[in-house]
Amino acid sequence: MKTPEGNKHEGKISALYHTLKVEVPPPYLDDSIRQEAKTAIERMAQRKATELVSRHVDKLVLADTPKRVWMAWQWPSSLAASVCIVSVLWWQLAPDLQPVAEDVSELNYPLATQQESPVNAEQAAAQFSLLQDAAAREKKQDALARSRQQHELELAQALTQMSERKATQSALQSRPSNTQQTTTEHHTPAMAETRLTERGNSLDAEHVLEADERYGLSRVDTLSMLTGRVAQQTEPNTVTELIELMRQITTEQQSAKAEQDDKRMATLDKKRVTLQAQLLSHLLHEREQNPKFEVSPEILSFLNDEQRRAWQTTLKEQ
Amino acid sequence: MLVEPSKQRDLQGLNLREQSDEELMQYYALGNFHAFECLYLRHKGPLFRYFIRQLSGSSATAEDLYQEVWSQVIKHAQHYSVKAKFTTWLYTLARNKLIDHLRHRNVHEQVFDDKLVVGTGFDEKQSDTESSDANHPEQASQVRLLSAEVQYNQAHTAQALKRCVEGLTLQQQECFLLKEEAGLTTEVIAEIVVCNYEACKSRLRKAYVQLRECLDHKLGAGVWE
Repeated sequence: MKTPEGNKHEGKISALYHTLKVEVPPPYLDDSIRQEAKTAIERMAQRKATELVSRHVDKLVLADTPKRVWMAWQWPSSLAASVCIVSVLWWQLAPDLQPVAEDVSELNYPLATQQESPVNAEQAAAQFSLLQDAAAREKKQDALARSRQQHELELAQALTQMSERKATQSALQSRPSNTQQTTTEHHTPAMAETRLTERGNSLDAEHVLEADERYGLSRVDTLSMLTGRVAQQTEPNTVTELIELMRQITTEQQSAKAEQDDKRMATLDKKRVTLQAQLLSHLLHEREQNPKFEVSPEILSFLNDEQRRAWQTTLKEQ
Repeated sequence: MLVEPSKQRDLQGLNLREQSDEELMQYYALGNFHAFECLYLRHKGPLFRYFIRQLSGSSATAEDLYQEVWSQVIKHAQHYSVKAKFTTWLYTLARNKLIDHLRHRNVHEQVFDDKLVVGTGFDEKQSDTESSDANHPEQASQVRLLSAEVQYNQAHTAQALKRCVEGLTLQQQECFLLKEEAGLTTEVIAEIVVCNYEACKSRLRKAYVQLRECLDHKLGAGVWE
């Protein structure tokens, strides 16, 4: 606690000290500090002016920033969109980029190979060859099925013609010269026919002739027995076989004429007429199946006049 | 000038002498040099004496510290905000400068094995009375203006008081000088010297008691008559 005496002393000390407040900083120090204050003010003014300008520039930059950001992502995105649209249009319009149709034809194939790239050309060629192979395979299968059907028809016709052949055999048996050469029961025409039937489809014309000699049958008879079957076996061979038979008959007739064998001549004439009828029927059948089927004059020469006229009439009608 | 023309006209029309320290500082921050000059004139003496009393015998150092403090004021004027009284801020800067200087000087003297001056008793410095008078010629010239007897008595008493102030401890000295030179209240002094109010009050009381005893010792008890 301060006593009144203490306060009195403090006041006196303060008053006494007041007389000591005479020291002041030297004038050069005052000038220095004043100059420093002035310089600071000038620097401050310059800095503020610079800040004002920079703030104004910043404002302009900030105002321009959204536009620049927009421009920054607008160009790449618009470019990408354009590329996408062009590529889609090109893909839609370019034919070589479309998937290859299954029924591509030979006409389409060169067009495709001309327009597309080498890689696509190779792929298209491979695909085309596969399609060709498939088509050929289908054709083969069709031909096999057709030949199988014809074979079955041939067998059925062979059975129906058995009776006719038996009649023919009985007529041949009436010839003593031929039957005497084959006196054994094993060499009868019936046995020969059986054997021939057993040999089936693999039998060709030469084997037939060998069998004729072996079993004591004439070539004409043997061939005539097989005519129907062989003629029905394959279409291209039918006409050929018939013509071959007719040539053989012609030869036989010449020999029979030389021998003056009238009976044989008559039989051969009958055969010839039968074969001519068969030939005409085959030609007509072929014509029905294939309208473009043409017959050479040589083949027509094997037909008689009536048959030729009938053939010409048929052609005209079609 | 960075101050806008309208503000500048307002500042020119002001009577700066009537403005508070804080307002003057703000005007200076706005670019008014006269506001700074007014502020400087108010505080240059007390601040200079604040240093010179505590750095007795080293006026050059006191001038350096004094200039550094004002440089800091100028430097930080732009960012000055009125959070406290200007004097509080000014003397806080001054005190920090002084403490930094004394610490540096103590380290320097310890390195060179010199005698520490700060905080020494006033009895040890009594022999330096005449030598330190030469540092203040303006004081002597003022003293000459007084009448011979009064002059002699006052000069003698003032010199004695001066020596007694120099003889205070550093803490007492700064509290006494802040009170007498800057005219600060005990609360503000406590804030500046970073201590509580009671401690600051105690320091001041001890300083006055010690000064009274010192003056009694130097001038005799009749000085208080």
